[in-house]
Amino acid sequence: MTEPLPRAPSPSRRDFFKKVGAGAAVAATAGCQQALEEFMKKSLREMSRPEVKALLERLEKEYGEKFGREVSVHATPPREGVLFGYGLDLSRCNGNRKCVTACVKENNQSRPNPDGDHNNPIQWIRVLEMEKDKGISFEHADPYYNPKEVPEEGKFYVPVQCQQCENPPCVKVCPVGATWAERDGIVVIDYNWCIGCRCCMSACPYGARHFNWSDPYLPADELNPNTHVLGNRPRPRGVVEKCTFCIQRTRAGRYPACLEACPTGARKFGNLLDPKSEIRRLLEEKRVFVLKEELNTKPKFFYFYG
Amino acid sequence: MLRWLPLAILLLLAACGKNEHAPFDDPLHAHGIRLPPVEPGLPPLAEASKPQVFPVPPPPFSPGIYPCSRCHVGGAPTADTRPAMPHKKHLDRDLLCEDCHGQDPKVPAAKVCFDCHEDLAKEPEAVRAYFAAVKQPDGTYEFPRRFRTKDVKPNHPGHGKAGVACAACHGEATDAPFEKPKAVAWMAQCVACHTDRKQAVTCETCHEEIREPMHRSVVLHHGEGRHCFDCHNEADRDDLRLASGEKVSFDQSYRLCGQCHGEKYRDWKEGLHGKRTGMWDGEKTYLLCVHCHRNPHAPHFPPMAPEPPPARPEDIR
Repeated sequence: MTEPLPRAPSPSRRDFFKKVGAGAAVAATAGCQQALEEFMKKSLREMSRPEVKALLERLEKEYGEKFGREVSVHATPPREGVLFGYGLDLSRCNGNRKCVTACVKENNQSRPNPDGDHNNPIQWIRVLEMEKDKGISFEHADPYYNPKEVPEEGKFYVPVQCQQCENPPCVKVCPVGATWAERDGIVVIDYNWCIGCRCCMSACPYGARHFNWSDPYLPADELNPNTHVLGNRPRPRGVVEKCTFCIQRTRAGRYPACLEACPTGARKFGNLLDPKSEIRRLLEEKRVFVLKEELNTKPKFFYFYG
Repeated sequence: MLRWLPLAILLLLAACGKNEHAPFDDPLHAHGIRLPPVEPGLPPLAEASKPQVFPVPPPPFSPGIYPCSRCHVGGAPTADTRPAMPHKKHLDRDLLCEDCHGQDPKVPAAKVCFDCHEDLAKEPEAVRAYFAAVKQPDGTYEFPRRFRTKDVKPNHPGHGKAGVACAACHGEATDAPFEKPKAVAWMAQCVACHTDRKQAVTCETCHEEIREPMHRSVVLHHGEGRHCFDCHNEADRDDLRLASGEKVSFDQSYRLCGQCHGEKYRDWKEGLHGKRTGMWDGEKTYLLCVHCHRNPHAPHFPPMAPEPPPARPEDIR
């Protein structure tokens, strides 16, 4: 496979160095000032509230110019007493991939662009087709199935997305601390801090992380303008992204987009700390399992047979 | 005890701190971890499954869009207030039904009456009053037609040959107006009699052309040996009925389904089966059984076309 080498994530930072080297920093132009701001910025986790606010304003302005329409970027914090959990009923899922399409739409992933210079479609949910004879076996899984109609005879389907582990290997390996688990259990990425080394992608046992090899292709009319700074805001080239349980929706109290799109009702979501929530009833009443339990990642994504 | 183990481990790891945090922080390193109390047992059903929003059932199962009663009028027979011809008096004089109505019965023409009632002026008061009541402004006589069917044309000679008396369907002749039976009650009578005599009772036996196209498409693939009125309320088609006979409206059809599918019904009430949209912590829209299992007459989930597959690595550039 001939892949282009990962590029530096922030060209403006490199620009800044160039300018310093050329002694151009003395000229306090507007562009230089912005580059300075970018260079001096901190990780989101170290920012104070006013700094976060300034960042959101800067991002909103940047996206507004880029897409020619109003984009709101929120930084809704985790709610007290909330820990998100997800359930998926494997006996209901028929592999129709409606969740995948809804996720791409909601979360501003890069769309297919077969005629353009760059074609880097990203899907956060991957539906694996497996054989009933072999059970859950990743060696015999096919994510590229494309028959006329699903479900196919003798096959079953396992949608896999970020499992929001309690013990996330991806977080451990990140050399710059650009990814972490929030208090409500969502593992997030600071796209401005990610250096694109892709260590987290090789560490993730679920293949849940995806890399922007080239500039994401996102037509302005397909943009979802309701975004979260750690979630579905438009990403630059050279950063890793993944499912965030639709952080922009779930922190506002709504169900994730994949759940609402599922025509078979296979997807369940709720607060693990609320004994009356759907996800808790599920854990109490159904036999649930997690993928690759032996790796001790402690996923908060539970599969069951309803 | 073992089934609590994963949950306990989970909660231990997931417990959140209570102190004030910066907007973005790491729960794994948060201090002051406290476990929320885990209540033993399950909360009572009613509390956990209190429905908040019930949507309108999808068409064509919404009686608001297709009122079933437009065709299927149920209830008791209505009294006929139109002038009544004393049928019993005529039959008592050894006349037979077919003497006036003919072999293929229809409302007789007035001249049939005048074969006997030759001179109205010499007739008694009651007879003159009756003819006056049915006389039209243009001088002709029009007798009220009491038994009119929409799309059913009973084979009268056939019934006659099989020894079915006129009264079996039209009721005993009286001098009072006949009671006009509701279509539904009448049909029930047909079905009962056909069943007793071991005659065919399919829809097509009587309904040569069923007018509502939705009925044409109804093919029952739902359990074995089911009948329309196992679920539809025979007396009032705008409603459904439970096995107990209790009336159930279309927007509570889940109760009907729950009679047989008890386990799924329980799971649905708790949000483990079926689909809810809206807020995970607030107002939700519950989808009914028929929202997803589109056709209650054949509720098995049909196969569907999948959305396009992901890009293969070699196609990424």
